[in-house]
Amino acid sequence: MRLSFIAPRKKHLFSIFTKVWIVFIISIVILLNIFNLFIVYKNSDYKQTAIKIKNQRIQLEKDIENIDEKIGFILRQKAVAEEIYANNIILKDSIKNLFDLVPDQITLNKVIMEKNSLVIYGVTPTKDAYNFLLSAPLKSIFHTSQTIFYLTDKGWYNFVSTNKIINPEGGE
Amino acid sequence: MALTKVLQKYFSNIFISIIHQDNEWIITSKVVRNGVIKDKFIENFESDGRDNIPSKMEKYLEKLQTEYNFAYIAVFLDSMGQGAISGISATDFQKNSVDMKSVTHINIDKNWVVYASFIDINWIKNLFKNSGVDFIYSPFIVQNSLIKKQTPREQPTLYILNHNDSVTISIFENGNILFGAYFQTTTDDKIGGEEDWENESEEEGLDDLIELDNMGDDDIGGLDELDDLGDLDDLEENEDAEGFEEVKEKDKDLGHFSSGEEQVESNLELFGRDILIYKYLTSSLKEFYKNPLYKSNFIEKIIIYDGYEVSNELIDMIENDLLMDIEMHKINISEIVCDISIKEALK
Amino acid sequence: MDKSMEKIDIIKLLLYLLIFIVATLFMILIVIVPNIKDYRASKIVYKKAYVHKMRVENVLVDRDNELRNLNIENRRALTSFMHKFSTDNFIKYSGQFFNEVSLVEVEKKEYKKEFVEYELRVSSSLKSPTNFYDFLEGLNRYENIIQADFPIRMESNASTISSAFTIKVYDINATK
Repeated sequence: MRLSFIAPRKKHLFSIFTKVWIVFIISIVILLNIFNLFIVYKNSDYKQTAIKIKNQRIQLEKDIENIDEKIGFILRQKAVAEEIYANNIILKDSIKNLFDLVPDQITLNKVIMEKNSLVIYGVTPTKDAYNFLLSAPLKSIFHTSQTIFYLTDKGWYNFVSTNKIINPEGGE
Repeated sequence: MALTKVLQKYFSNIFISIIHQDNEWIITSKVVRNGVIKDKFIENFESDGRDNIPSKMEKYLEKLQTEYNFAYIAVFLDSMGQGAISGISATDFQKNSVDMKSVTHINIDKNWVVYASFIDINWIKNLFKNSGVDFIYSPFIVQNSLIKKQTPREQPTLYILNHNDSVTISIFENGNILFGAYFQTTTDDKIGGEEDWENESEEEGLDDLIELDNMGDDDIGGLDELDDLGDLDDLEENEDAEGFEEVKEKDKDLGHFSSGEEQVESNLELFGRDILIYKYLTSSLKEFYKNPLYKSNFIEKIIIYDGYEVSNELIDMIENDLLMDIEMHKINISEIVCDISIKEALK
Repeated sequence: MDKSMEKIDIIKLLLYLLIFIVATLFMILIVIVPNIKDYRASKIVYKKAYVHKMRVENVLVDRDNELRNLNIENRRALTSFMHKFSTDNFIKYSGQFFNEVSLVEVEKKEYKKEFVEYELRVSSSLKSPTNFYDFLEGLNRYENIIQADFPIRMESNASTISSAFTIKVYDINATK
């Protein structure tokens, strides 16, 4: 108010119109930027989580391998055990069958069982009795069967029966 | 904002000065950019009185303000309720019978004061409420800017600022004011000034003086009373609120007053307004010399800043009858107001 | 008086509109759209990874159950494999069926799979072959995995039958 009685009105560089537009444009740009940042954030979030999940999955796959090994191990044990159990029962049945084969007249003294052979030492009243009752079944079971008789002073025969099964591998 | 201030000078600023003369408004506009005046144009609008602004003018102002982002409107204050006094303190106001509470004032050089009543200021603001106004300048300010352009004179010098509608008289010594007086020469009721002074007799004028004096020290409220004096033909000359002592002494000058008709007859060369100017001049001088309030030194020189017209006869008369040297300068008040506003806005 | 809102300058309006459109288009086309593409892509990748993981997880659960069940089903065999072979225990067990049981270690050799095999020769005397049958049957329920094997020799003596046979003991612990 140096020389004038009143002070001049305030002068603005930008008219209200311009200011409104400036504010409007800047607001829109800022909003779009915020939206963009949001998208970028979610984007990186997904990427990170995807990696995390991938690692988890790999870990799970390792666990599965682990379990599979254990399962395999158990199955092998089971197989072996069952084979053994079966073998034992088969063994028992074979021996039982064999002894059941023997008729009352014939008495066994000694039995030697090998994997592919069977040698029986016994006493029989007559050859025929042996041939009919024991030799025939034996022959049906084994591939080769030989018997040697020894006459005893009582009139009975000691016999030694050698029976073999031929394996395709040729083992005895 | 301060930033706006700094950047402003690089943009186009338009300074519009509005002044009322006779029956028209004169609008002088200057466009300033980077400290250089880029454009200047002047526009006139017919006025139907000081009460309102022609709508064409409002539109013109609006157009200018829309065109230029930085626009300053400066108005020349020619209402009655203003003046200038020596000194700046409250006592000085009191001595000059000016009510400090009802005027707004400006201290110049920490020495003297230019004042104007709030009523007048608000009147102007209201007048320009649609277009706005930035500066309101007193004629004393205009006169002062002209005085400052010259080297300060040690001897007391009387300055006259002549405007169509007003006469501003001040006496300076060494750059300080000793006396200031403001006279309005036309009112709204007037169509033309010349006829009226003929109708109105000098005596009536004198009567006004006397009556004013009798009313005591008028503060600006006195303006209303002056209106009441419409009983008289027309109130053409309104003294400013400072009470003038009754001018009674017979003096060479007074002689001219007391017989106005005589004056007309004896000085046929002095016409119309010049008579008024002469009258104001002499009554101011009288007041200055007689009133103990004013430190009186003898005035040798009169400098006239003329924004209207002053006849040679008047100059002769002053030189011969008052024995004073006269310096005349023709000026364009409207443009000066413009320049003042440029200086003030762009500091 | 700032009447800029009442008398709109068309040129300025269009200019600001243009700036606005350019700015918005720029933001959308050059900044946002590529990011959205990227976002969609990574979302798909994520979903795939997730689904994959879920499937694998299910497989894991199934296998785990399978393991559990196998463990439960084969508890007997598994524990038998784990059990350390004790000569004394075996003699005690055999004593249920035979008289005068004795054990001789034949050899210990690497079983071709994961177990170590002890071979022992058992000599015992029994009253009748039925004992042997029962022995063999009970062997499957014994605390170790034992296979009775050839050669088997039986000889009848005065009141008893003396027998000799091989047993193969399968032990996991021995490898550790």
